[in-house]
Amino acid sequence: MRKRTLSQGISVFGQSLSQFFLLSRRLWRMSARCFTALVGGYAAAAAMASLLARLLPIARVEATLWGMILSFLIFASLGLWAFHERRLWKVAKVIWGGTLLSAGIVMAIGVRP
Amino acid sequence: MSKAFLDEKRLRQSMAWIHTWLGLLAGWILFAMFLTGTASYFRPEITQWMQPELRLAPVAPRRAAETAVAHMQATSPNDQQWFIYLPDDRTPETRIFAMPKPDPGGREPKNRSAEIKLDPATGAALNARDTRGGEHFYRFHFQLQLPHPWGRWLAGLCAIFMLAAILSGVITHKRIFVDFFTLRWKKGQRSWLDTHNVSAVLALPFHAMITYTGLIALIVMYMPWPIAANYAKHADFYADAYGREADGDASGKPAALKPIGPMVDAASRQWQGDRPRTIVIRNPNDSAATVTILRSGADRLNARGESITYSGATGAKLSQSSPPGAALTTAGVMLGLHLGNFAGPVLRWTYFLLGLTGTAMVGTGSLLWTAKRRKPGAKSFFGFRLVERLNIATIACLPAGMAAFLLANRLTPAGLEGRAALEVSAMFWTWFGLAALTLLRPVRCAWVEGLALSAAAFAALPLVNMVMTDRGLFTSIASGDWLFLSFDGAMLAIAALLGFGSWRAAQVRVAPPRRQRKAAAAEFRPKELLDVA
Amino acid sequence: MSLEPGLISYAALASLALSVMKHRPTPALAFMPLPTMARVTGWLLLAVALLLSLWRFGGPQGVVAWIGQTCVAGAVFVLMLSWRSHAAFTLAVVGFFVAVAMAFA
Repeated sequence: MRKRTLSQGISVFGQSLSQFFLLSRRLWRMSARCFTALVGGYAAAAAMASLLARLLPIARVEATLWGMILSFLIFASLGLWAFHERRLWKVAKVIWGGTLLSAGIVMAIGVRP
Repeated sequence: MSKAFLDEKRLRQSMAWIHTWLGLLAGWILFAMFLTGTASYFRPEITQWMQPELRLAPVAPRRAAETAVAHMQATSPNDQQWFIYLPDDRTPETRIFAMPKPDPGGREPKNRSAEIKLDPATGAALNARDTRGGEHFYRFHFQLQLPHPWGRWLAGLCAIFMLAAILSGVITHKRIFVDFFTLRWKKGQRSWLDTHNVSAVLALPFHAMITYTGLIALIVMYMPWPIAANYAKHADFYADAYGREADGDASGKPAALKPIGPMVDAASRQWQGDRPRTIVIRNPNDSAATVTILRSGADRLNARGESITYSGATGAKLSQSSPPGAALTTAGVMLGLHLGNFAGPVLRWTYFLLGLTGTAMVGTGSLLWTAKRRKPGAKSFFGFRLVERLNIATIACLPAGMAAFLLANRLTPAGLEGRAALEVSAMFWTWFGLAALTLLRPVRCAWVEGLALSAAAFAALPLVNMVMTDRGLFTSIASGDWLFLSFDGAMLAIAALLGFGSWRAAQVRVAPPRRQRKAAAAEFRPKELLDVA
Repeated sequence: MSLEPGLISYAALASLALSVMKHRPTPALAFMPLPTMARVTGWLLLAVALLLSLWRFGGPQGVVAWIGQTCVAGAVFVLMLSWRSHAAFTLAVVGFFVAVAMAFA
């Protein structure tokens, strides 16, 4: 077994560290994407559906139901898109941003009188 | 190559990737949901089969309602709600789901006490063996035998995965029309792909409908947020949607429940003689009691029939459902499509066959995954072994469990205490027990033996039925007992299907040595196979 | 027992299969229409099946029944086609005439 010099030892250590860091960076990115798709997607669908229900100028119960019915389609579509779009920041921006924006508007205008 | 072409290719690739993952994560649960859900299209028939001693004469709705209420008044007059299903042409008994009052400590009430089944003529408990019947498969398929609400949430999660899988599957399938009729046998991985594609595409309208409508069925649980945006009080939504008084809390002042008979008659009159299907009594024996009578919509697509609500304390009419708007009708029709209660015999069997096709779609998807990654001779990675074993545990062993449920019904004594729970246990012990046993066998043997055992279990049913009851195969033929006859027939057909599967699994050739395989692999390059990653 | 829409859909799908070069059986059938003819006939028969279903089951249920029976017919056809292709097409012709007979009975 060859004895390693100090510098060789440090470079091996550095390599393993960077490999580990890269691996967990990939893992972190994929986890973030999954979380955004699943939890964020649901939140976005719920928020957008609520906004739609709130704003549709038809009877209250009708608007509510249309929002609820369409929400699943929104959820599934957003979820799929989250895995198609390459840029993670764009996915996060659209989904979480969409959630906050829609929920914000709904809460700002308040419940239908 | 144009940008559009590359974009399309990348879309297909990303959709293929996510389609595979969605299928992997939810596939086994979805298989169980599809199989038990398909069985549920014959829920009343299964229940009837599981109570062979029962011979009930048809009874007028008014009488059934009166005896039901009398029974509940005698046993638990201070419940929060009684949900009474009156007998109909497929279910001869009265079924009641009672919800007790929540604890004064404010804890959530114990969810759904066991179903109460009564003789509609007398209100007495049924003079037949106690059993969950078809209700077991039905409840399992959306509650997964888990405590409320976790079961429904898990089922809902799998359902949204299914929806996304359908969308991504359609996007990724390159030659969906040309491949419409393609089904090649004995070509290993390619055959599984063809079967998966064919079962998915040919019944695509059904699969898409059943998945979306399944989500709609529990929509208030899965997506209540839009209600909060439009209604300050959640209860007002129910009033608007279902036309009954906003659920009042019990006032605490006792008041005897008025007789139900006149209310049933009044409702029938208002509906020009159409019969009521269910009666929901809230806070009985309280001054704020309400009695909602729902119309039988048996021949209509919209599952939500009209309803009329009366005061329980005074008998006066309080409200009735208004003609539903477009969204309400859509939701009602969607629920109706999922439940399939409107379907006559032909359409019901069609639903059943399509449900089996859906089950095949899910199952072949999981089998395709392993077929693509099988490398004979090489050490398989852990994920592969896990998926392969889970495939066996679900596809080969769940049918055995379902057969065990039915077998247990015939083999446990009719008078035994707690036999209903025993039947349910039989299903899970058999399913998981057999699954555990298959772990001890090499994969191919596990498939052959697991499927063979399932086939044997189903084949045993007509025999056990003949021995243990007086409604065996030959008696059914002689007396024209269609229900028992078709049941026996269906069990034998399922046994044949499983037996065929077992036989085919035994036929699988061991892979030829490496040199030949490489040459064969070079021949069919994935060019045409772009469908799934 | 209203199976006529299903039987006619079966014939329709068989006809559509004949319009795709890949699925035309070899050796050829006794009567082999041209691909275009087969396609037109296929779509026409699907429409007939729909009308028949609407007539038999009434409006919305008729649509459901048509879709459902067409799907099942498709599954049966594909299974037959992959197993014994000539029998699959013979069945289409036989089924069509049975359906016509049942419709007028």
